[in-house]
Formats: sequence, C-alpha cells, structure tokens
Amino acid sequence: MASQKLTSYLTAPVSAAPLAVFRIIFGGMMLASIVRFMLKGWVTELYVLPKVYFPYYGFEWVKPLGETGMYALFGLMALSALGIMLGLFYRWSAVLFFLSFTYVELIDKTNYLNHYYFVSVVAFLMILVPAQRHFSLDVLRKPHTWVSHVPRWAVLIFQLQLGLVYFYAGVAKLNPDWLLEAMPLRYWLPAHTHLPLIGPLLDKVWVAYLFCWFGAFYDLTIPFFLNWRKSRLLAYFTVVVFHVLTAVLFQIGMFPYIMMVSTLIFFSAGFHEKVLNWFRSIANVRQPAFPKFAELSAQPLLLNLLALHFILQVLVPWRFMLYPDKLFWTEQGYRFSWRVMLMEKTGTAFFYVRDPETGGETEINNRDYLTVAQEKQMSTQPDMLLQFAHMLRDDFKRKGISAPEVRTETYISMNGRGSRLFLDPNVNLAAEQESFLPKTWILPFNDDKLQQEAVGQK
Amino acid sequence: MKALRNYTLAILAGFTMLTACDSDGDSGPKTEYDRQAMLANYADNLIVPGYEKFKTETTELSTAVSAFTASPSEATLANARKEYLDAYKVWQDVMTYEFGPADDQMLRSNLNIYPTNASKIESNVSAGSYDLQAAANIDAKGFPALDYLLYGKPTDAEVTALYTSDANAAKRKKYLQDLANLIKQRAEATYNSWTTANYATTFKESAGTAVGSAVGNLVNQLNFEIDLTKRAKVGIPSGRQSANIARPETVEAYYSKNSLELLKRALMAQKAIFMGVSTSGTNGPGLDDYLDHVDAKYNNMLLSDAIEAQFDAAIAAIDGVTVPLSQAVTSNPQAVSKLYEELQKLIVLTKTDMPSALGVAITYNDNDGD
Repeated sequence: MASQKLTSYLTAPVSAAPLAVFRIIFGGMMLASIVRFMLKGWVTELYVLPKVYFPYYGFEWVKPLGETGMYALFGLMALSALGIMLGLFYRWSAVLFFLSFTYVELIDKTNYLNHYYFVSVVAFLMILVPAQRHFSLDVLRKPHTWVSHVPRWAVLIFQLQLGLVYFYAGVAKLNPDWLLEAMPLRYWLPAHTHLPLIGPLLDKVWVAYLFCWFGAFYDLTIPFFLNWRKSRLLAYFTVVVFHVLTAVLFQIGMFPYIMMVSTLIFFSAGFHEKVLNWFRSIANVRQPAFPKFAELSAQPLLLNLLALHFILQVLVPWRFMLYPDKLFWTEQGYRFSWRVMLMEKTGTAFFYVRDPETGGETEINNRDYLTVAQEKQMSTQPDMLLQFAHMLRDDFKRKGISAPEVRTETYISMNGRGSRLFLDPNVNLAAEQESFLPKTWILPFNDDKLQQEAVGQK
Repeated sequence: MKALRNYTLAILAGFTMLTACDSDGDSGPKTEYDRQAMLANYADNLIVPGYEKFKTETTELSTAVSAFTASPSEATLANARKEYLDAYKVWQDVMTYEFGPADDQMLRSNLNIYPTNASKIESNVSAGSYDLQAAANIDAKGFPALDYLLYGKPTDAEVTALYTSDANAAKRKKYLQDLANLIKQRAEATYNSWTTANYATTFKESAGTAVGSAVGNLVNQLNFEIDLTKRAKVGIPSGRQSANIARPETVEAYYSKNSLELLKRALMAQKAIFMGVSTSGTNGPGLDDYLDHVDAKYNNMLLSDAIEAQFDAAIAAIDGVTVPLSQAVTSNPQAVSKLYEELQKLIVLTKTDMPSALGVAITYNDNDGD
C-alpha cells in the first residue's frame, strides 16, 4: 500500500515549467563551460599534449582521440549542450552530451573533479526526463508533443540529487581536521589577504574556524531550507553568498555558478512559470490554453531505474568503510563521494626502476613522462602511483629490460602534518595488480610518527 | 516568519559554537603577515642586486675574453678563466629566478645547458658560421661551452695554442667572443627588464599565491632549482639515472673541475632565497618567516628550522667530497651518495611540506581543486 501511495505521489502531475527552466539553465551553463574550456586551451593541454594518461580501473579502453578527434568531440559536446538548452532534438542531445562528457572525464583521473562527476550524473538524469516537451524548439517542430504538466519525479530527482550533493559534502566535513583544526582552510585562507574588505580577516584563525563550521552547517542543512517554502528565499540568498565566496577564494572555475543557478530548481512552479512567461513576452509566443499531462509509457521501468540510481548514490560515499585505515591517507573510496576541498595533501614521489639481471637501478625524472598536473595528482594517490609504476615497467620493457622492478619512495604531507613515507618503498609495484581490494603496500597512517629517511637506491 | 526566525537562530547557534571553539584554536597566525614586504625584500635586496652583480660580472667576462682574443697568452687566458668562474658563480645566485624577464630571455637555455657538446662546438668553430639561437646549438653555448673552450686541453700552453697557431684560431676566437657576448647581452637584458622596464614593480604588487603570482613563481622555481641541483649536478653524473653506471663527463664545469664549488654556491644561494637573505647578508622577511607565521611544524620543530638545518646538512655533505666530482663519482661514491641523500631529504621538505603550508598552487590551470 505504501509503495502504491509513493508511486502515485511520484507520478502526480506538476507544472513542467521548473523542468524546462532547469533544462535551459543546465544546457546553457554546460555550453558556456565547454566554450570556456576550449578557449583556455585546455583541450590541447589536458587531452592532446600529455604523453600518458591515467584511466579509471575497468575503463582502460577510454583513450584520447588525437587533436582533431578531441576537438571534434568537444564540438559535439558543445552542440549537444546547445541542443539541451534549446530543447532541440532533445533526446539525442542529452544522450550525446552524457556520453561525450563522460568519455572525456574517463580519459584521465588527473582531471577528476567532483563537479564534473556531478555534471555526468545530472546529464544522465536529463536523458530520462521529458524536459523537451515544454518551452522548447522540439515543441515548435512537433506541436502535439507539448505538455503543461510532467510527473512529479521528473522535477524531484534533480532536487534530490542536488540535496544529496550538499548533504554528503556536509557529512564529509564532519571530521576532526575540518572541525577541530580548521584544516585545510587555515592554510588556504591567508593566501588571500590582498582581497578588498574581507582580505585582512582571512589571516585570522577564528575566521578559518568560522568558515569551517559555517560550511559544514550550510552543506548539511541547505537542501532542507531550500525545500521549505518559508525559508527558501533566505536560503537561496545564502547559496549565492556562499558560492560567490568560494568563487573568489578558490580556483574552482564554473562550479559555483552552476550551483547557484541549479538550485533554482527548488523554487515554486509559479516562479518558473513567471520566468518562462517573461521569455514568452519577449519572443511573443503563446502557449496552448488547455493543460496536458505527459503520459510516459516507460514510467514503471524509469522509476525502478531511478530507485536503483539513488540507492547507489546513497551507498557509494560510504564504501570507504570497507577499507582499512584513514580515508584521507589511503584515498581508497575517496572519489565519487562529494568530498570537496577537504585536504591539503602534497606529495613527492621518487621512482626507481631496477634491472634484476644486472642489479642496476635508475631513478626516474617523473616530468620526462608526466605533466605538472599529472605529477601532482599522481604523487598523493595510491592507484595513480601504481599506474605510473606500470607505465615505467612497460616503458623499460620496451627498452629491452625483460622484467623491470619498480619501487617508489613517496612522501606525503597532509593537512599540516609533516611529510612522511606513504607507500612501502621495498615493494615491487611492477608486480602488483590494480583491484578494488585494499592495497597492502600503503603504509599505515600514524598521526605522530614521522618517517623521514632517505631510502634512496640500493 | 517563524521559519525565518528559526533559520536565523540556527545560524546564530552555529556562530556561538564557533566562538566557543575559537578559544581552543590558539596556535595559528596571530598577526597579519606582510607579504608585500616580503616581495619587496626579494625584489629590492635579492633579485635586482643579484642581477646587477651578474650584469657586472658578465661584462667583465666579455672584456676579459676580448683581451684574450686580442692577444692570446697564458696571462690573458688566466684572466679570462678567472672572470669566467666569477660570472658562473654569480649565475648560481640568480638562476632560480627563471620567471618573467629571465624566462623571456630564456636565460637557463642560453647560459647553462650541460653537459656541453664538444664536437658540435668544434664543428661550429670550423664552419665559421652558426646560429646560436638554433635549437641544435642549445648545448654548444653558455658557460659549459666556455668551460670547454677555456679548459679543453690539459695544459695552459695547449689551450693558448688553439687561439694562436691552430688553423682555426681566428674562427675559435670569434666563437669564444660570440658566446661571451651572448651571455653578457642576455644578462643585461634581464637586468634592464627588472629595473628600467620595471618588472620589479609588477613583482612586488603581485597579489596572492596562485599560479603566476610572485609568491607562486618564487616557490615553484625554488623547488625546480633544488630538484635540478640534485638531479643534474649530482644525480646524473653519479649514475642515478643510468642504472648506477657513473657518467663523470656530465658534471657541471667538467673541464675546469669546478663542479663542487658551483654546487656549494648554488645551495647557499637557494638557502638565502628561502630565508630572504640579501646579497649584502641582511636577513629580511622571507619564505621561512611566512612558514613561521602560519606556524608550520615539522616533527615538533618549526618547519623553517628543519629546512634551514637540511640546507646546512646538504652543504656540509659537499665538504665530504674531497676530489673533483667527476672523479669522486667513481673513486668515492659513498661521499657522493651521502650528498645525494641529503639533497633528497631537502627536496621532500621544500617540495612537500613547504608549498602545503604556504597555500601555493603548483598546478597550471584553474581547473584545480573542487
């Protein structure tokens, strides 16, 4: 009975305006992001120039497509974002956008950002909703597809997804480093003392604590305050202030702006209808007078698929509990969990390749293989360190050494703790395999113990 | 309206917790750090005086080379060698500042790519015409090429003979002079950019610690330089990158055997940059003071003290090497290994702990972080 009630609640008709506005906003922001990305030269810098890439486990088949191929892919991505915005060939656009965007993200872990993952997730959800059937060019092309109302779930899933992002970002902040040490903001904020007005304050420790505690409170509660009609306006004002602040303080590109406009989905249908009517008055178009509800034949299937999606979304951020030791140290189960700006983690990795036949060992200059960004990301993440070890193994095999051994001496400084040895420097990583199992060659994290010793070459 | 009030109350409650927490957080920066004063110290007391001295030394080098080529003798050769070594040492003082003007002048590529390519130099000399800016000539110019041209034969008489009785003497004199002039010209151009073209002001007024900011450039270049000191000055010659097979011919200043002296000068310069010590020896506001300001710790001591001590340990380890480095890599590998290990420890501190505490971004696009 309860499930029937839930189903009828989820499928009840609601105004299509919020979904249409969200479609326009999402498509528009994506188009702007892609154009910006191309104009900054990042397509070449991140997907053409590097000599090697760090694909995800199980996605090693995802490879860059060469200069022409990558620009074509980004062109396609931009066109499909435009298609989403205009609601033109919408279903094709949404599928193409999801595939092209996700493909690019899977090429190299170096460029992993929670907000790219967010875009992929939302793009996936966009495929499933009838967002083109209201205020779109598709409706102009095929007027009979027009609807005034869509099932409630089509709007709800975006609110839920956004709510999950914020809430889990808040849960992730409930850790001792953030709450008790004000780390890493205590190190990051003083770098901005040149800013007008707030600049001088950023040097104060209490301000770092304020930001930390307010940030956690904000992330944990904002979905609820946005959802609640009476607190919505104030909550949205807080959203704007919060994201403007993060845009000023951190180099996070388009993300704050995307969040600022995406959260408008929490606003009432009346608000979105006003927005659309304003557009209509400019374009001088009218909408049909009689309401029409979008009947979706695949609805039961979609609801099951969405249930599965959200169960995964709820569970995935907790998978770190299946791994031993401190999450920040091992980063096993760190990604895809909305852990945002939690760590100042810097590493230095020295790699040694040994030829067991001669005993001769060669130290690697990482930059001979990697870009600055790749080296930085690789130096702190065990799975990337292992991948680099395998790249070295394969490269030395090509150079004629039949069974090269690869060791790394890696030091990590994390949230203000002095640098310490990260991986077992005696393990031959060439012989280790990637898997979802715990990586036994990560040394145990010890809060007090420093292990600075030059292991060097044997 | 009740909801609004509840929300406000909740926020206020949050703030109260913060204030309660504040009293515990007493170990952070207490006073504002004057980053502008630090940058001014670097520009006015280290970088500009450093380049000024370098300009003077390279001018003297060029003059001494002119005197030698005008009348080659063992006496004029000795003077040219002296000026060469003086200028090469001052280069170690300023080579870290490879951003802005130095980057424009491609100072490192023009001045100090080693090991130098003797056969390329010889073929340039006998050809009599060459383009020193051609990519192919990157290892046939600068101080390492002068090192070969001024010390390339076992005795002074033999070197002098190359500029007097040798068939290619005239062409060799011209090549030597062209190299010395190129060094002088690039040094002058860099100095002028900092002074008359006022890059110093740009540097001093640069805000924040992002990529391309003055602090970011300084920290990243200092790390790059320490890394290069370990790798190129010690690592490659001692076979660290060639399966433990020593490559003595790859040391800096191979022919004149000045490698260790230059290495020591380089490390002392890097230490001075870390500490903000001026060319006249005054300790001004530097990166170490900034680390102290954010109370960066290492192993229960101040991080700045740990880094300073590690610089000293590395410099002391140089003295453990008692013969020229090109010999020591085969005759005394233990002492070289000790030196190498101290440099490795230094890199861990400056490349891992220091940028963390400074909040310096070491990535090149703002797609970083989230």
